[in-house]
Amino acid sequence: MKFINLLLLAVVFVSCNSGSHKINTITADSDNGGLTLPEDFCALVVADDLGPARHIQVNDQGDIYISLNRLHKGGGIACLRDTTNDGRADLIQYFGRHHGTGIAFWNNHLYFGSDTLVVRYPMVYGQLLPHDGEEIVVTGLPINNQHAAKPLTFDQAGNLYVTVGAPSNACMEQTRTKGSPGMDPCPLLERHGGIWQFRADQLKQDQVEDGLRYATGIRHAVAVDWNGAENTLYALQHGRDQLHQFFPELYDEKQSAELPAEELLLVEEGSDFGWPYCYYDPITQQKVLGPEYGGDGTEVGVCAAKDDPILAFPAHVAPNDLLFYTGDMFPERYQNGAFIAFHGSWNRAPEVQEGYYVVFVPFEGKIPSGDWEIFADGFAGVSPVNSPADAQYRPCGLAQGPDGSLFVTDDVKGRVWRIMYNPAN
Amino acid sequence: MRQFYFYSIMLFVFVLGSCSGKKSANNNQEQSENPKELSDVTGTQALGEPHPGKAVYQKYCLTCHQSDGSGVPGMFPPLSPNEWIADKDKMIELMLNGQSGEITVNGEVYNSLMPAHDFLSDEQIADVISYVRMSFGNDLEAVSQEEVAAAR
Repeated sequence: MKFINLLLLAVVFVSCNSGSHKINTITADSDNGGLTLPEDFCALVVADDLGPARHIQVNDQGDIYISLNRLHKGGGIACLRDTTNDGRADLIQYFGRHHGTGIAFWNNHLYFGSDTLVVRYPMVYGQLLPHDGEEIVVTGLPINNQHAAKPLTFDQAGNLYVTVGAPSNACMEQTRTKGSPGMDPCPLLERHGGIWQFRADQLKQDQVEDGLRYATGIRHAVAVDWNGAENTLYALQHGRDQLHQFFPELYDEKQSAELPAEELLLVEEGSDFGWPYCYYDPITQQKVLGPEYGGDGTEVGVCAAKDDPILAFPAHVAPNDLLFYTGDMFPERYQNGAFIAFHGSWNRAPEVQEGYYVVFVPFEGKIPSGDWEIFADGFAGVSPVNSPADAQYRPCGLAQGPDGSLFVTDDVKGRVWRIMYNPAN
Repeated sequence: MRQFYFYSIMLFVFVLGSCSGKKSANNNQEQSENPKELSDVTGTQALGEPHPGKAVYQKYCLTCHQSDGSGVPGMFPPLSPNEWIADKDKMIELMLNGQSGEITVNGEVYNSLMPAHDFLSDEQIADVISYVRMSFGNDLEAVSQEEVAAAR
């Protein structure tokens, strides 16, 4: 009884402070969990060693749900609760028999995108663990040994969007083999390399029979989010690799490390962003024909008709999550802007690796109103990062808490940070 | 911070080396203090000639397995001592047929794809396997062209 009273008191205390920028009950870590942040922002480590933590969702009660890339401690979803209101998770349970990346709430259900299907579990208010009654929402998604993740998001009209990456670099006949030509048309695009739309409330939908290929020409999008204020879907593409390795006569190692740009895409029904035929050159700011399709690094060809990105990022830095910020904790300029978690590169070698950070992009309406800026850095713990194995942590997922805090996951060690704005400090 | 100083010194040594247009024995010695460069040293034969497998490694393997052979967590396994590197036949098979799907190396799970490298000559395959088996902390016997030819 005493315990329940205490709990009640704590809940009241927190709710009294919600909406204010003061974080009275939560103290950030003195080292911000190893992160470097803009002035007046601070951070704490919510949990550690959760397994390969990919995407993350936080519900209205502050409970945290994280998709895991492999089963860990018997589950594919880590469920976290802070029962003492210090911001640190002290109740951690594992749930679900699938592993994967996609995770999102819709209509009192937790949806989970494993590598081959989308399932959902009913949520019971107040209970940390979802209800065991698993339902299959989408089935028959292709198994990929490359780009296997099936991230997902919802619009406000009851549609579910699932990204299906291509198990390929540039649709060569023999995958990632020097000298092998690009297939034209690329048959992979029928079931891969795009974003598929399904009904959120319909069960056992088949990708081909029931799904709509909403957009195509996207090699692999792990970061996908619906911007509710603009009623528009956005995603980021992992661009192609190995230009120098396969075409040393056209690209040197440096060019191969800097090409092509990672792309922020405004996705509309029918969009075609050009993969595998095209890639985006951030220097000339245009899509050019890939060398597998006869391109020489400057020829545009069919790419003139493809959709361009709305913002370009450095090559190979691997955008793994996107979040449009709607909380009331961060200052005005962050409202409806985009946070993007970059996993960091592996394919810039022998150049140093880059991009182990979370960035912010200010938005006005549907498009960016300024250039991107690094928001949270220091995840790698070393500088420079010569090899990805040197990086201590790699950002992978983003979520907004009910108070407007920003949560970031890492899939190397399974750490979760909570970033807060507190001008009083 | 110490690391920063170290890299600054390394950069200085590197710049010195490239200005003079030749790499002195002294430079090589300096570099060998960097554990990242150990692979280069072990991959260099006594007379200073680079191992013939090193060029093959740099051209076909480095992008994924990295300069220091550390690989990419979750995707491409490291080439430091492990049960796969120790198995000659397995290494030859990997080069000829490639590999895809989930594997476990030194207790860590990797899930990606390595394309077949059967377009390389027997000599190139023997060279690069031999190079890997004597680099990145490995000290294992070389593989011969004949062994590759027999498996092909």
